[in-house]
Amino acid sequence: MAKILILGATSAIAEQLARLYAQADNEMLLVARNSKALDEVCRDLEVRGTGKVSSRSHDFNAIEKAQEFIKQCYEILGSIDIVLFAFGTLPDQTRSNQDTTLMHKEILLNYNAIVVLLNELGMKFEKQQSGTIAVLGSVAGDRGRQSNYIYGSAKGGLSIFMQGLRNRLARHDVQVLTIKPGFVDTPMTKSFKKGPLWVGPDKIAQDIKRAIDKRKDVLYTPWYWWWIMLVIRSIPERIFKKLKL
Amino acid sequence: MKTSFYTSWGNRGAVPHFATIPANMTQAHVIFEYDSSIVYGQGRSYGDVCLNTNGGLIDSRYLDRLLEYHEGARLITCQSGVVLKNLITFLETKKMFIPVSPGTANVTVGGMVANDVHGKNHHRVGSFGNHIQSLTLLKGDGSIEECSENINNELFRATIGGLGLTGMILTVTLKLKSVENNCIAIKSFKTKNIEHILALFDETDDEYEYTVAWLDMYSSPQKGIFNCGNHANGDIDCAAPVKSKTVPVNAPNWLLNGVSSKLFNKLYYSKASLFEREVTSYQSFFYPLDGVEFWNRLYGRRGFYQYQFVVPYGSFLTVYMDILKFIKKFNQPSYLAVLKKFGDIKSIGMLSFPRAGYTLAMDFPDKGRATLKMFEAFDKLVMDAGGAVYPAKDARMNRNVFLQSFPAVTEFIKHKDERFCSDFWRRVNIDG
Ligand SMILES: Cc1cc2nc3c(=O)[nH]c(=O)nc-3n(C[C@H](O)[C@H](O)[C@H](O)COP(=O)(O)OP(=O)(O)OC[C@H]3O[C@@H](n4cnc5c(N)ncnc54)[C@H](O)[C@@H]3O)c2cc1C
Ligand SMILES: NC(=O)c1ccc[n+]([C@@H]2O[C@H](COP(=O)([O-])OP(=O)(O)OC[C@H]3O[C@@H](n4cnc5c(N)ncnc54)[C@H](OP(=O)(O)O)[C@@H]3O)[C@@H](O)[C@H]2O)c1
Repeated sequence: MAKILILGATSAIAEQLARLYAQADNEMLLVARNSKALDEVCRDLEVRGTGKVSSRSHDFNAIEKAQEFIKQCYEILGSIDIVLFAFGTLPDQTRSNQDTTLMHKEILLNYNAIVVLLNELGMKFEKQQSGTIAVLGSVAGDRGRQSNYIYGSAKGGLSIFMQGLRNRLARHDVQVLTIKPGFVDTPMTKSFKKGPLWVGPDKIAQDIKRAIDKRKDVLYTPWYWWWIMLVIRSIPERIFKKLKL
Repeated sequence: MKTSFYTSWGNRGAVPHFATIPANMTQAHVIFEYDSSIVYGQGRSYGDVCLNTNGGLIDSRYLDRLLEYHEGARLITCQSGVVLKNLITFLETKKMFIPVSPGTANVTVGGMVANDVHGKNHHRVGSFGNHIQSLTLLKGDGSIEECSENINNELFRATIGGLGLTGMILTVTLKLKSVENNCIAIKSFKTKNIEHILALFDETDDEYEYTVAWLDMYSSPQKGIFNCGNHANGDIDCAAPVKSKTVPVNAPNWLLNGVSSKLFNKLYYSKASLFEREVTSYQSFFYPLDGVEFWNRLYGRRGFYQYQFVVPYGSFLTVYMDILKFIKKFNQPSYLAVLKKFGDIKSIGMLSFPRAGYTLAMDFPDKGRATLKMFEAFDKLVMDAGGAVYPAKDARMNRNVFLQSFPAVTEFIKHKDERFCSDFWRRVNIDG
């Protein structure tokens, strides 16, 4: 039996993960900003057999409401065993280079909005001495590239925040899982041309579930991204800076 | 807007589309930005019913949610992009099964409606369309129509088997059948010739719900394997094989040739006894080809065709013999051939393919003009016998063949949505 909180539950990856947890003895609270879309997700999970599904619409741009928001989640669920952070946007790098207001907005959602919630949850999980905090980072956070460094820096920062949180909560038996997917075919990447390295969100979800079960710290998914990023990270900066990436 | 490339199962080249991939049903409402659109399910049609070159394409892959399940009434309502294999996995837990299943589980519910697909049990239960309680259709003007036997009956009958041309199917409510387990009790026979197969169809009709025959078109007379099955009784479990292999890229054109496919057919026949187990999984009985994902790529870059037709019982043998003559004359043997017997339950769709008679499906590699010439010769035989060619498998039939196969097209046109079109529809040129 688990109580599961999913933030950004209309994300394709999150939805697939929720399906893997759709069992009679699990209870879920799904949060997303588009309530009609969220309703479709909830109905599906109910049919698939999730014990109890509640939903809430919330715009995570409202950073100032973080504290109150987490409080309300606890009011609905009572306690939380697993929380997944899946909301996010993929900023248009070229547009952001020209528009600082836009860039700021993207950073606020993809970094600030997440870490304030993590901070609130950190206190609760520390007391609770159990559970899993899982956050969708990205391989893009492993190294800055001209084509995607706004998103990359938010994900990279997030990854460092998670390291610290993990370090802090490790002795309280809390799993802090950073998920680093590679290329995933979801609405977020619909304008990309797909190649052989791409996988569906269902594959990512299976890997996440296994990583949660095994209480892993960092997950590269699919597995080959661990090797790809090892290579990418090891290129000396004086060479890397000249590459068109 | 960028173009995306989509292809169909015949794998004869990907063509550009302006694709939208709605993440939910609300997003599906704002999709009609193009002069024409077609919905793309899993692209398991062999030809061009799911393509709309340089036009709009609506990819239904994210509309894959189950919306309602009524155990007592044996009904499920789901979105049109739900893939059959996922639906079956869910239904297994409820001891339910779908009433009609095609030869692959990698198809969407919407695609099964739009082609009014048939299974190995047509003689018992008719086609997929005979089991639809209701559906909702998003029209090109943005309105949503609920359709069933009693509401919007004509639009209902136009949409079932309607090749995606009446609008976008959003949801489908499907009648289910209850089963005791996930096993099929099977029996297979090795057959000596076509007469032997036809006799077996007649003999097994009453005893078996599912019957199908595979033919080795290299042998003469054509040897074959006749499979029949029923849902098994009792508390048993036939979990499906764990993982399928996949063909990642197109094979070189020479890989599948006369020699290798001849060998395959021979091997299949001689190994057939191995399949003579008592009970087997859905996967190995209904979807044997799904074991190798994207096997269509084995045909290489040029791709392949399937020719599937139906003719009345009485004319089948003559048509079949004549087809063999043409295959010989054009020297293009079929790499894979499957024969089924349709019963006389009437399909409800205006453009539904299933009707009383025998239906033969044959795969041929694309050898250019010669292949097309041979198909034209087949067409003539099938038309003279008062039969039909199946659009889901077709990439080349002409206007006359389509009109003769589907005389109710005159009624259908009234319900075709003007914002929807496909390469198929342009090809058979009914509008113009
Ligand atoms: C190995 C194999 C075995 C097969 N065996 C059989 C068989 O035994 N019997 C049989 O009948 N067929 C069989 N088929 C054909 C297959 O079942 C049909 O072509 C089916 O329609 C494919 O479904 P799809 O989801 O891939 O649809 P697509 O091929 O993508 O589309 C098919 C048609 O459905 C329309 N469509 C799809 N979704 C929607 C929607 N939401 N709203 C409106 N229109 C929609 C498309 O526009 C198109 O006209 C087989 C195919 C293969 C590859
Ligand atoms: N797809 C990839 O290749 C990939 C790779 C690495 C990491 N990731 C990460 O995986 C996570 C999930 O992404 P996905 O691929 O599943 O994409 P997705 O389906 O587009 O999901 C993103 C979700 O975030 C929600 N969202 C965006 N802004 C929001 C806000 N202000 N308030 C509330 N919700 C908001 C979106 O809701 P709306 O629909 O309402 O906008 C959407 O449901 C993201 O963090 C992403 O960065 C994805």
